Amino acid sequence: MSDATRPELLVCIVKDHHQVEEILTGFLELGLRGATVVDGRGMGQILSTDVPIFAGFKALFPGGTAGTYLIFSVVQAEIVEDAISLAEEICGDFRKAGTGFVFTLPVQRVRGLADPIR
Amino acid sequence: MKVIAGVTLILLLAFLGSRWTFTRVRLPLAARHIYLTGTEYILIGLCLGAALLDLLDAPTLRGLSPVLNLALGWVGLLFGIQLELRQIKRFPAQHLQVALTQGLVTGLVCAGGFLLLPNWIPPLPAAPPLPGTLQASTTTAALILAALAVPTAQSSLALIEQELGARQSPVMQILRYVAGMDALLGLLALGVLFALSHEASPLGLPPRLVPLQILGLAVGLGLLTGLVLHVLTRLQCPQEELLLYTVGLVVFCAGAAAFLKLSPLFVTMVAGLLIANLRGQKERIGRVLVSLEKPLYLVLLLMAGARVMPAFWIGQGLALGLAYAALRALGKLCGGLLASRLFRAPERLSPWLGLGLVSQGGMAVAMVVSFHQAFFGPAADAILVMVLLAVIVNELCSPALARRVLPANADGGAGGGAGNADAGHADGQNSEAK
Repeated sequence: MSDATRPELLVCIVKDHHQVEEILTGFLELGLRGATVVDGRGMGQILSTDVPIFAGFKALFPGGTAGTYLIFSVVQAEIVEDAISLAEEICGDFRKAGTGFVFTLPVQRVRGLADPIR
Repeated sequence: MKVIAGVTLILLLAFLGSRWTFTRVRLPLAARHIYLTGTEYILIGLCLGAALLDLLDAPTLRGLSPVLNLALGWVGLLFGIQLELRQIKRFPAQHLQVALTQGLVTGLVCAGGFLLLPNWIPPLPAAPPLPGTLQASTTTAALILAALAVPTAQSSLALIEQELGARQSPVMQILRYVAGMDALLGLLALGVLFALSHEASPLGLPPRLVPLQILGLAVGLGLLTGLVLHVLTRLQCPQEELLLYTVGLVVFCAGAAAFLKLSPLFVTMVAGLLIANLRGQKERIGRVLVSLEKPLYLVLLLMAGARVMPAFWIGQGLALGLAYAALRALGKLCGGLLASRLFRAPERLSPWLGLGLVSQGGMAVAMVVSFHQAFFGPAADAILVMVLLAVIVNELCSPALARRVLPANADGGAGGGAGNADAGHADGQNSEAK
Protein backbone atom coordinates (compact mmCIF):
# COMPACT_ATOMS: atom_id res chain seq x y z
CA MET A 1 0.00 0.00 0.00
CA SER A 2 1.57 3.32 -1.09
CA ASP A 3 1.70 6.30 1.26
CA ALA A 4 -0.89 8.15 -0.81
CA THR A 5 -3.49 5.41 -0.50
CA ARG A 6 -2.71 4.61 3.16
CA PRO A 7 -5.95 5.14 5.12
CA GLU A 8 -6.11 7.57 8.00
CA LEU A 9 -8.89 8.23 10.47
CA LEU A 10 -9.84 11.88 10.28
CA VAL A 11 -11.50 13.15 13.44
CA CYS A 12 -13.01 16.59 13.24
CA ILE A 13 -14.60 18.18 16.33
CA VAL A 14 -16.89 21.14 15.68
CA LYS A 15 -19.36 23.15 17.78
CA ASP A 16 -22.05 24.15 15.33
CA HIS A 17 -24.46 21.77 13.66
CA HIS A 18 -24.72 24.02 10.59
CA GLN A 19 -20.98 23.59 10.11
CA VAL A 20 -21.41 19.80 10.29
CA GLU A 21 -23.75 19.87 7.32
CA GLU A 22 -21.38 22.11 5.36
CA ILE A 23 -18.40 19.89 6.11
CA LEU A 24 -20.27 16.74 5.05
CA THR A 25 -21.33 18.40 1.80
CA GLY A 26 -17.70 19.45 1.23
CA PHE A 27 -16.52 15.89 1.93
CA LEU A 28 -18.82 14.61 -0.81
CA GLU A 29 -17.30 17.11 -3.21
CA LEU A 30 -13.82 15.88 -2.23
CA GLY A 31 -14.88 12.37 -3.13
CA LEU A 32 -15.30 11.00 0.39
CA ARG A 33 -17.93 8.30 0.49
CA GLY A 34 -18.94 8.61 4.08
CA ALA A 35 -18.51 9.95 7.56
CA THR A 36 -20.07 9.23 10.90
CA VAL A 37 -21.28 12.06 13.10
CA VAL A 38 -21.54 11.59 16.84
CA ASP A 39 -23.29 14.10 19.07
CA GLY A 40 -21.12 14.73 22.11
CA ARG A 41 -20.41 17.16 24.88
CA GLY A 42 -17.15 18.87 25.67
CA MET A 43 -15.56 19.00 29.13
CA GLY A 44 -16.73 22.57 29.68
CA GLN A 45 -20.26 21.69 28.69
CA ILE A 46 -20.38 18.80 31.19
CA LEU A 47 -18.86 20.75 34.06
CA SER A 48 -21.03 23.81 33.53
CA THR A 49 -24.26 23.89 35.51
CA ASP A 50 -26.01 26.14 33.07
CA VAL A 51 -29.72 25.65 33.62
CA PRO A 52 -32.07 27.17 31.05
CA ILE A 53 -34.89 29.03 32.78
CA PHE A 54 -36.98 30.06 29.78
CA ALA A 55 -34.85 28.90 26.86
CA GLY A 56 -35.07 25.17 27.47
CA PHE A 57 -37.51 24.38 24.66
CA LYS A 58 -34.95 25.13 21.97
CA ALA A 59 -32.64 22.53 23.46
CA LEU A 60 -34.90 19.86 21.96
CA PHE A 61 -34.20 21.02 18.41
CA PRO A 62 -31.17 19.86 16.43
CA GLY A 63 -28.31 22.21 17.27
CA GLY A 64 -30.39 23.81 20.01
CA THR A 65 -27.88 23.08 22.74
CA ALA A 66 -24.26 24.05 23.07
CA GLY A 67 -23.09 20.69 21.84
CA THR A 68 -20.05 19.20 20.23
CA TYR A 69 -20.12 17.14 17.06
CA LEU A 70 -17.49 14.55 16.25
CA ILE A 71 -17.09 13.71 12.59
CA PHE A 72 -15.22 10.46 11.91
CA SER A 73 -14.12 9.51 8.45
CA VAL A 74 -11.54 7.01 7.18
CA VAL A 75 -9.87 8.76 4.26
CA GLN A 76 -6.96 8.16 1.93
CA ALA A 77 -3.83 10.06 2.99
CA GLU A 78 -3.77 11.92 -0.31
CA ILE A 79 -6.93 13.86 0.50
CA VAL A 80 -6.39 14.38 4.23
CA GLU A 81 -4.89 17.82 3.74
CA ASP A 82 -7.79 18.90 1.49
CA ALA A 83 -10.30 17.65 4.06
CA ILE A 84 -8.56 19.51 6.89
CA SER A 85 -8.40 22.71 4.83
CA LEU A 86 -12.08 22.38 4.02
CA ALA A 87 -13.01 21.97 7.71
CA GLU A 88 -10.88 24.97 8.67
CA GLU A 89 -12.40 27.06 5.89
CA ILE A 90 -15.86 26.33 7.27
CA CYS A 91 -15.16 26.51 11.01
CA GLY A 92 -12.56 29.28 11.00
CA ASP A 93 -8.98 29.26 12.18
CA PHE A 94 -8.62 26.21 14.43
CA ARG A 95 -5.89 27.98 16.41
CA LYS A 96 -8.60 30.23 17.87
CA ALA A 97 -10.25 28.82 21.00
CA GLY A 98 -13.80 27.55 20.59
CA THR A 99 -13.72 26.95 16.84
CA GLY A 100 -13.09 23.21 17.12
CA PHE A 101 -10.14 21.07 16.14
CA VAL A 102 -9.08 18.28 13.87
CA PHE A 103 -6.60 15.41 14.02
CA THR A 104 -5.81 12.21 12.18
CA LEU A 105 -4.74 8.77 13.32
CA PRO A 106 -3.06 6.07 11.30
CA VAL A 107 -5.37 3.17 10.53
CA GLN A 108 -3.71 -0.25 10.87
CA ARG A 109 -6.39 -2.30 9.22
CA VAL A 110 -9.66 -1.54 7.51
CA ARG A 111 -12.37 -3.66 6.01
CA GLY A 112 -15.63 -2.57 4.40
CA LEU A 113 -14.46 0.85 3.31
CA ALA A 114 -16.04 1.92 0.02
CA ASP A 115 -13.87 3.21 -2.79
CA PRO A 116 -13.66 7.00 -3.02
CA ILE A 117 -15.92 8.71 -5.53
CA ARG A 118 -13.92 9.50 -8.68
CA MET B 1 -35.20 58.82 46.00
CA LYS B 2 -36.63 55.55 47.31
CA VAL B 3 -37.27 54.43 43.72
CA ILE B 4 -33.63 55.02 42.76
CA ALA B 5 -32.51 53.11 45.85
CA GLY B 6 -34.98 50.34 44.95
CA VAL B 7 -33.69 50.08 41.37
CA THR B 8 -30.10 49.95 42.62
CA LEU B 9 -30.92 47.30 45.21
CA ILE B 10 -32.88 45.09 42.82
CA LEU B 11 -30.31 45.30 40.02
CA LEU B 12 -27.41 44.74 42.41
CA LEU B 13 -29.06 41.67 43.93
CA ALA B 14 -30.02 40.33 40.53
CA PHE B 15 -26.61 40.71 38.91
CA LEU B 16 -24.66 39.46 41.93
CA GLY B 17 -27.19 36.68 42.40
CA SER B 18 -26.93 35.56 38.80
CA ARG B 19 -23.19 35.02 39.38
CA TRP B 20 -23.55 33.11 42.64
CA THR B 21 -26.79 31.25 42.13
CA PHE B 22 -27.07 28.54 39.49
CA THR B 23 -23.73 27.05 40.58
CA ARG B 24 -23.18 23.52 41.80
CA VAL B 25 -23.34 23.12 45.59
CA ARG B 26 -23.68 20.17 47.93
CA LEU B 27 -27.23 20.28 49.25
CA PRO B 28 -30.07 17.78 49.64
CA LEU B 29 -31.86 17.13 46.35
CA ALA B 30 -34.94 19.31 46.88
CA ALA B 31 -32.93 22.17 48.41
CA ARG B 32 -30.49 21.99 45.51
CA HIS B 33 -33.36 22.42 43.08
CA ILE B 34 -34.63 25.43 45.01
CA TYR B 35 -31.12 26.94 45.00
CA LEU B 36 -30.26 26.13 41.39
CA THR B 37 -33.51 27.51 40.06
CA GLY B 38 -33.18 30.70 42.14
CA THR B 39 -36.52 30.18 43.87
CA GLU B 40 -35.07 31.48 47.16
CA TYR B 41 -35.17 34.98 45.67
CA ILE B 42 -38.94 34.99 46.16
CA LEU B 43 -38.26 34.83 49.90
CA ILE B 44 -35.58 37.56 49.65
CA GLY B 45 -38.11 39.72 47.81
CA LEU B 46 -40.68 38.97 50.50
CA CYS B 47 -38.24 40.19 53.16
CA LEU B 48 -37.54 43.39 51.20
CA GLY B 49 -41.22 44.12 50.59
CA ALA B 50 -44.06 45.36 52.74
CA ALA B 51 -44.24 42.02 54.53
CA LEU B 52 -41.02 42.67 56.50
CA LEU B 53 -38.45 45.42 55.83
CA ASP B 54 -40.70 47.64 53.70
CA LEU B 55 -37.74 48.74 51.54
CA LEU B 56 -39.81 47.99 48.45
CA ASP B 57 -43.22 49.39 49.37
CA ALA B 58 -46.15 49.80 46.97
CA PRO B 59 -45.19 53.29 45.61
CA THR B 60 -41.58 52.15 45.09
CA LEU B 61 -42.77 49.04 43.27
CA ARG B 62 -44.94 51.21 41.02
CA GLY B 63 -41.87 53.34 40.31
CA LEU B 64 -39.98 50.19 39.37
CA SER B 65 -42.55 49.29 36.71
CA PRO B 66 -40.16 49.98 33.78
CA VAL B 67 -37.68 47.46 35.21
CA LEU B 68 -40.47 44.93 35.68
CA ASN B 69 -41.76 45.55 32.16
CA LEU B 70 -38.27 44.99 30.77
CA ALA B 71 -37.98 41.68 32.63
CA LEU B 72 -41.45 40.51 31.54
CA GLY B 73 -40.88 41.58 27.94
CA TRP B 74 -37.48 39.88 27.90
CA VAL B 75 -38.99 36.60 29.10
CA GLY B 76 -41.82 36.76 26.56
CA LEU B 77 -39.48 37.50 23.66
CA LEU B 78 -37.03 34.81 24.74
CA PHE B 79 -39.78 32.23 24.94
CA GLY B 80 -41.40 33.28 21.66
CA ILE B 81 -38.16 33.24 19.69
CA GLN B 82 -37.85 29.50 20.35
CA LEU B 83 -41.16 28.73 18.67
CA GLU B 84 -39.87 27.94 15.22
CA LEU B 85 -42.77 26.09 13.60
CA ARG B 86 -40.50 24.24 11.16
CA GLN B 87 -38.69 22.67 14.12
CA ILE B 88 -41.79 22.05 16.22
CA LYS B 89 -43.44 20.16 13.35
CA ARG B 90 -40.59 17.63 13.36
CA PHE B 91 -41.91 16.03 16.54
CA PRO B 92 -44.49 13.23 16.40
CA ALA B 93 -48.12 14.31 16.64
CA GLN B 94 -48.31 12.29 19.86
CA HIS B 95 -46.13 14.87 21.63
CA LEU B 96 -48.54 17.69 20.80
CA GLN B 97 -51.57 15.55 21.69
CA VAL B 98 -50.07 14.71 25.08
CA ALA B 99 -49.16 18.36 25.71
CA LEU B 100 -52.64 19.63 24.86
CA THR B 101 -54.42 16.89 26.81
CA GLN B 102 -52.50 17.23 30.05
CA GLY B 103 -52.55 21.05 29.79
CA LEU B 104 -56.31 21.14 29.33
CA VAL B 105 -56.95 18.60 32.08
CA THR B 106 -54.71 20.51 34.51
CA GLY B 107 -56.49 23.75 33.68
CA LEU B 108 -59.92 22.16 34.03
CA VAL B 109 -59.11 20.56 37.39
CA CYS B 110 -57.79 23.83 38.83
CA ALA B 111 -60.55 26.01 37.37
CA GLY B 112 -63.22 23.52 38.45
CA GLY B 113 -61.82 23.28 41.97
CA PHE B 114 -61.82 27.03 42.55
CA LEU B 115 -65.14 27.65 40.79
CA LEU B 116 -66.75 25.13 43.13
CA LEU B 117 -65.02 26.46 46.26
CA PRO B 118 -67.30 29.16 47.70
CA ASN B 119 -65.96 32.46 49.01
CA TRP B 120 -62.31 31.55 48.70
CA ILE B 121 -61.24 35.09 47.87
CA PRO B 122 -60.41 36.65 51.26
CA PRO B 123 -61.87 40.01 52.33
CA LEU B 124 -58.49 41.75 52.31
CA PRO B 125 -58.12 45.47 52.93
CA ALA B 126 -57.40 46.35 49.32
CA ALA B 127 -55.70 49.60 48.39
CA PRO B 128 -57.79 51.99 46.27
CA PRO B 129 -57.47 50.99 42.62
CA LEU B 130 -55.16 52.91 40.35
CA PRO B 131 -56.87 54.44 37.32
CA GLY B 132 -57.32 51.88 34.59
CA THR B 133 -56.43 48.78 36.61
CA LEU B 134 -58.57 45.73 35.95
CA GLN B 135 -60.59 43.83 38.51
CA ALA B 136 -60.77 40.05 38.58
CA SER B 137 -64.17 38.48 39.21
CA THR B 138 -64.38 35.13 40.99
CA THR B 139 -64.72 33.38 37.62
CA THR B 140 -61.78 35.26 36.10
CA ALA B 141 -59.71 34.49 39.21
CA ALA B 142 -60.43 30.76 38.88
CA LEU B 143 -59.59 30.84 35.17
CA ILE B 144 -56.36 32.76 35.82
CA LEU B 145 -55.37 30.15 38.41
CA ALA B 146 -56.04 27.50 35.78
CA ALA B 147 -53.87 29.29 33.20
CA LEU B 148 -51.07 29.68 35.76
CA ALA B 149 -51.26 25.99 36.61
CA VAL B 150 -50.46 24.85 33.08
CA PRO B 151 -46.75 25.83 32.72
CA THR B 152 -44.07 23.32 33.67
CA ALA B 153 -40.53 24.37 34.60
CA GLN B 154 -37.93 23.67 31.92
CA SER B 155 -35.21 24.45 34.47
CA SER B 156 -36.25 21.69 36.83
CA LEU B 157 -36.43 19.15 34.01
CA ALA B 158 -32.98 20.23 32.80
CA LEU B 159 -31.57 19.68 36.29
CA ILE B 160 -33.18 16.27 36.60
CA GLU B 161 -31.86 15.43 33.14
CA GLN B 162 -28.32 16.35 34.24
CA GLU B 163 -28.61 14.42 37.50
CA LEU B 164 -30.01 11.25 35.99
CA GLY B 165 -28.08 11.31 32.73
CA ALA B 166 -31.41 11.19 30.95
CA ARG B 167 -30.50 13.40 28.01
CA GLN B 168 -31.51 10.94 25.31
CA SER B 169 -34.33 9.26 27.19
CA PRO B 170 -37.58 9.29 25.16
CA VAL B 171 -39.50 10.04 28.36
CA MET B 172 -37.35 13.10 29.00
CA GLN B 173 -37.75 14.23 25.40
CA ILE B 174 -41.54 14.14 25.69
CA LEU B 175 -41.48 15.83 29.12
CA ARG B 176 -39.38 18.69 27.78
CA TYR B 177 -41.57 19.06 24.73
CA VAL B 178 -44.69 19.13 26.92
CA ALA B 179 -43.03 21.71 29.19
CA GLY B 180 -42.37 23.95 26.18
CA MET B 181 -45.92 23.64 24.91
CA ASP B 182 -47.32 24.12 28.42
CA ALA B 183 -45.81 27.57 28.60
CA LEU B 184 -47.30 28.43 25.21
CA LEU B 185 -50.75 27.23 26.31
CA GLY B 186 -50.50 29.17 29.55
CA LEU B 187 -49.45 32.37 27.79
CA LEU B 188 -52.22 32.08 25.21
CA ALA B 189 -54.75 31.60 27.99
CA LEU B 190 -53.30 34.60 29.85
CA GLY B 191 -53.61 36.78 26.73
CA VAL B 192 -57.24 35.76 26.24
CA LEU B 193 -58.11 36.31 29.91
CA PHE B 194 -56.58 39.79 29.84
CA ALA B 195 -58.72 40.54 26.79
CA LEU B 196 -61.88 39.21 28.48
CA SER B 197 -61.28 41.37 31.55
CA HIS B 198 -61.39 44.69 29.70
CA GLU B 199 -64.72 46.47 29.82
CA ALA B 200 -63.84 49.24 27.40
CA SER B 201 -61.51 49.63 24.49
CA PRO B 202 -58.34 51.51 25.49
CA LEU B 203 -58.30 53.12 22.03
CA GLY B 204 -61.73 54.68 22.49
CA LEU B 205 -63.34 52.48 19.84
CA PRO B 206 -67.07 51.62 20.07
CA PRO B 207 -67.70 49.17 22.91
CA ARG B 208 -68.49 46.22 20.67
CA LEU B 209 -66.56 42.98 20.80
CA VAL B 210 -64.12 44.57 23.24
CA PRO B 211 -62.22 41.29 23.94
CA LEU B 212 -61.58 40.85 20.23
CA GLN B 213 -60.39 44.44 19.95
CA ILE B 214 -58.01 43.92 22.88
CA LEU B 215 -56.71 40.63 21.52
CA GLY B 216 -56.19 42.21 18.11
CA LEU B 217 -54.36 45.11 19.74
CA ALA B 218 -52.07 42.76 21.68
CA VAL B 219 -51.27 40.62 18.64
CA GLY B 220 -50.83 43.71 16.44
CA LEU B 221 -48.43 45.36 18.89
CA GLY B 222 -46.44 42.13 19.12
CA LEU B 223 -46.28 41.67 15.35
CA LEU B 224 -45.24 45.29 14.84
CA THR B 225 -42.45 45.00 17.41
CA GLY B 226 -41.26 41.71 15.93
CA LEU B 227 -41.27 43.15 12.43
CA VAL B 228 -39.31 46.26 13.45
CA LEU B 229 -36.70 44.18 15.29
CA HIS B 230 -36.44 41.83 12.33
CA VAL B 231 -35.96 44.67 9.83
CA LEU B 232 -33.45 46.51 12.04
CA THR B 233 -31.32 43.42 12.55
CA ARG B 234 -31.85 41.68 9.20
CA LEU B 235 -28.68 43.03 7.69
CA GLN B 236 -25.40 42.47 9.50
CA CYS B 237 -25.31 44.72 12.52
CA PRO B 238 -22.64 44.77 15.21
CA GLN B 239 -23.33 43.03 18.51
CA GLU B 240 -23.63 46.32 20.41
CA GLU B 241 -26.31 47.59 18.02
CA LEU B 242 -28.16 44.30 18.22
CA LEU B 243 -28.25 44.52 22.01
CA LEU B 244 -29.38 48.14 21.83
CA TYR B 245 -32.20 47.41 19.37
CA THR B 246 -33.35 44.41 21.41
CA VAL B 247 -33.40 46.25 24.74
CA GLY B 248 -35.03 49.33 23.18
CA LEU B 249 -37.79 47.41 21.46
CA VAL B 250 -38.50 45.22 24.49
CA VAL B 251 -38.80 48.31 26.69
CA PHE B 252 -41.06 50.01 24.13
CA CYS B 253 -43.27 46.98 23.49
CA ALA B 254 -43.60 45.84 27.12
CA GLY B 255 -44.13 49.43 28.30
CA ALA B 256 -46.85 50.04 25.72
CA ALA B 257 -48.49 46.72 26.64
CA ALA B 258 -48.47 47.57 30.36
CA PHE B 259 -49.87 51.05 29.63
CA LEU B 260 -52.73 49.51 27.63
CA LYS B 261 -53.30 46.87 30.35
CA LEU B 262 -52.21 44.06 28.08
CA SER B 263 -49.83 41.36 29.22
CA PRO B 264 -46.24 42.33 28.26
CA LEU B 265 -45.42 38.62 28.35
CA PHE B 266 -48.04 37.74 25.77
CA VAL B 267 -47.30 40.69 23.48
CA THR B 268 -43.52 40.10 23.35
CA MET B 269 -44.10 36.37 22.93
CA VAL B 270 -46.00 37.22 19.73
CA ALA B 271 -43.04 39.38 18.63
CA GLY B 272 -40.64 36.50 19.30
CA LEU B 273 -42.87 34.05 17.45
CA LEU B 274 -42.75 36.26 14.35
CA ILE B 275 -38.96 36.64 14.48
CA ALA B 276 -38.52 32.89 15.00
CA ASN B 277 -40.37 32.13 11.79
CA LEU B 278 -38.64 34.69 9.55
CA ARG B 279 -35.20 34.34 8.03
CA GLY B 280 -33.02 36.76 9.93
CA GLN B 281 -30.78 37.15 12.93
CA LYS B 282 -32.93 35.07 15.27
CA GLU B 283 -29.96 33.00 16.46
CA ARG B 284 -28.01 36.12 17.42
CA ILE B 285 -31.03 37.80 19.01
CA GLY B 286 -31.65 34.56 20.91
CA ARG B 287 -28.08 34.56 22.25
CA VAL B 288 -28.44 38.19 23.39
CA LEU B 289 -31.67 37.31 25.18
CA VAL B 290 -30.15 34.24 26.86
CA SER B 291 -27.18 36.29 28.06
CA LEU B 292 -29.44 38.37 30.31
CA GLU B 293 -31.99 35.67 31.08
CA LYS B 294 -30.80 34.89 34.60
CA PRO B 295 -30.41 38.40 36.07
CA LEU B 296 -33.80 39.41 34.70
CA TYR B 297 -35.36 36.21 36.05
CA LEU B 298 -34.00 37.10 39.48
CA VAL B 299 -35.48 40.61 39.09
CA LEU B 300 -38.85 38.94 38.48
CA LEU B 301 -38.51 36.67 41.51
CA LEU B 302 -37.46 39.55 43.80
CA MET B 303 -40.31 41.76 42.62
CA ALA B 304 -42.80 38.90 42.88
CA GLY B 305 -41.84 38.33 46.52
CA ALA B 306 -41.92 42.06 47.28
CA ARG B 307 -45.48 42.41 45.95
CA VAL B 308 -46.91 39.97 48.50
CA MET B 309 -49.45 41.50 50.89
CA PRO B 310 -48.36 40.66 54.44
CA ALA B 311 -51.93 40.27 55.71
CA PHE B 312 -52.57 37.28 53.51
CA TRP B 313 -49.25 35.47 53.85
CA ILE B 314 -50.05 33.31 56.87
CA GLY B 315 -53.22 31.34 57.56
CA GLN B 316 -55.69 31.39 54.71
CA GLY B 317 -53.04 32.15 52.10
CA LEU B 318 -50.96 29.18 53.18
CA ALA B 319 -53.96 26.84 53.13
CA LEU B 320 -55.16 28.08 49.74
CA GLY B 321 -51.64 27.90 48.30
CA LEU B 322 -51.24 24.30 49.41
CA ALA B 323 -54.70 23.44 48.08
CA TYR B 324 -53.77 25.02 44.75
CA ALA B 325 -50.48 23.10 44.58
CA ALA B 326 -52.33 19.85 45.35
CA LEU B 327 -55.03 20.53 42.74
CA ARG B 328 -52.40 21.36 40.14
CA ALA B 329 -50.45 18.17 40.88
CA LEU B 330 -53.70 16.20 40.65
CA GLY B 331 -54.45 17.84 37.32
CA LYS B 332 -50.98 17.01 35.96
CA LEU B 333 -51.32 13.42 37.16
CA CYS B 334 -54.80 12.97 35.67
CA GLY B 335 -53.72 14.72 32.46
CA GLY B 336 -50.71 12.43 32.08
CA LEU B 337 -52.83 9.37 32.83
CA LEU B 338 -55.48 10.32 30.28
CA ALA B 339 -52.87 11.18 27.63
CA SER B 340 -51.10 7.85 28.15
CA ARG B 341 -54.40 6.03 27.65
CA LEU B 342 -55.50 8.04 24.60
CA PHE B 343 -52.25 8.32 22.65
CA ARG B 344 -50.23 5.11 22.55
CA ALA B 345 -48.20 5.49 19.36
CA PRO B 346 -45.37 5.76 18.43
CA GLU B 347 -44.26 5.49 22.08
CA ARG B 348 -46.16 3.73 24.85
CA LEU B 349 -46.20 6.23 27.67
CA SER B 350 -46.03 5.74 31.39
CA PRO B 351 -49.38 6.43 33.09
CA TRP B 352 -47.33 8.32 35.68
CA LEU B 353 -46.06 10.82 33.10
CA GLY B 354 -47.69 13.69 35.01
CA LEU B 355 -45.30 13.16 37.93
CA GLY B 356 -42.54 14.53 35.73
CA LEU B 357 -44.49 17.73 35.10
CA VAL B 358 -45.14 18.88 38.68
CA SER B 359 -42.46 21.58 38.81
CA GLN B 360 -44.12 24.93 37.99
CA GLY B 361 -41.18 27.28 37.71
CA GLY B 362 -40.25 30.57 36.12
CA MET B 363 -42.98 31.05 33.54
CA ALA B 364 -45.70 30.77 36.19
CA VAL B 365 -43.90 33.41 38.29
CA ALA B 366 -43.61 35.72 35.27
CA MET B 367 -47.29 35.20 34.44
CA VAL B 368 -48.53 35.86 37.96
CA VAL B 369 -46.44 39.04 38.22
CA SER B 370 -47.83 40.20 34.87
CA PHE B 371 -51.35 39.50 36.16
CA HIS B 372 -50.73 41.24 39.48
CA GLN B 373 -49.34 44.29 37.68
CA ALA B 374 -52.55 44.84 35.70
CA PHE B 375 -55.21 43.70 38.19
CA PHE B 376 -56.03 44.99 41.65
CA GLY B 377 -58.06 43.79 44.58
CA PRO B 378 -58.13 40.86 46.99
CA ALA B 379 -58.35 38.28 44.21
CA ALA B 380 -55.12 39.52 42.60
CA ASP B 381 -53.29 39.58 45.96
CA ALA B 382 -54.58 36.13 46.89
CA ILE B 383 -53.61 34.62 43.54
CA LEU B 384 -50.09 36.04 43.81
CA VAL B 385 -49.53 34.41 47.19
CA MET B 386 -51.12 31.12 46.16
CA VAL B 387 -49.05 30.78 43.00
CA LEU B 388 -45.76 31.72 44.67
CA LEU B 389 -46.42 29.20 47.44
CA ALA B 390 -47.30 26.55 44.90
CA VAL B 391 -44.10 27.28 42.94
CA ILE B 392 -41.99 26.77 46.08
CA VAL B 393 -43.87 23.63 47.17
CA ASN B 394 -43.75 22.15 43.68
CA GLU B 395 -40.03 22.88 43.40
CA LEU B 396 -39.48 20.99 46.65
CA CYS B 397 -41.57 17.97 45.63
CA SER B 398 -40.89 17.70 41.93
CA PRO B 399 -37.38 16.11 41.93
CA ALA B 400 -38.52 13.09 43.94
CA LEU B 401 -41.72 12.75 41.90
CA ALA B 402 -39.92 13.05 38.57
CA ARG B 403 -37.54 10.27 39.60
CA ARG B 404 -40.56 7.95 39.68
CA VAL B 405 -40.89 8.40 35.92
CA LEU B 406 -37.19 8.70 35.14
CA PRO B 407 -34.93 6.22 36.94
CA ALA B 408 -31.17 6.81 37.19
CA ASN B 409 -29.20 6.32 33.97
CA ALA B 410 -32.36 6.72 31.97
CA ASP B 411 -30.40 7.11 28.76
CA GLY B 412 -30.68 4.21 26.42
CA GLY B 413 -34.31 3.77 26.32
CA ALA B 414 -37.21 2.50 28.19
CA GLY B 415 -37.05 4.89 31.10
CA GLY B 416 -39.23 2.50 33.01
CA GLY B 417 -40.00 4.25 36.25
CA ALA B 418 -42.99 3.42 38.38
CA GLY B 419 -45.36 1.55 36.19
CA ASN B 420 -43.61 2.77 33.08
CA ALA B 421 -44.81 0.79 30.14
CA ASP B 422 -42.40 2.59 27.87
CA ALA B 423 -40.44 0.23 25.71
CA GLY B 424 -39.00 2.97 23.60
CA HIS B 425 -35.60 3.46 22.14
CA ALA B 426 -33.02 6.17 22.33
CA ASP B 427 -31.35 6.47 19.02
CA GLY B 428 -30.24 9.93 20.01
CA GLN B 429 -29.02 12.35 17.42
CA ASN B 430 -26.28 10.22 15.94
CA SER B 431 -26.40 10.24 12.24
CA GLU B 432 -24.64 8.22 9.66
CA ALA B 433 -23.76 9.89 6.44
CA LYS B 434 -22.57 6.78 4.74
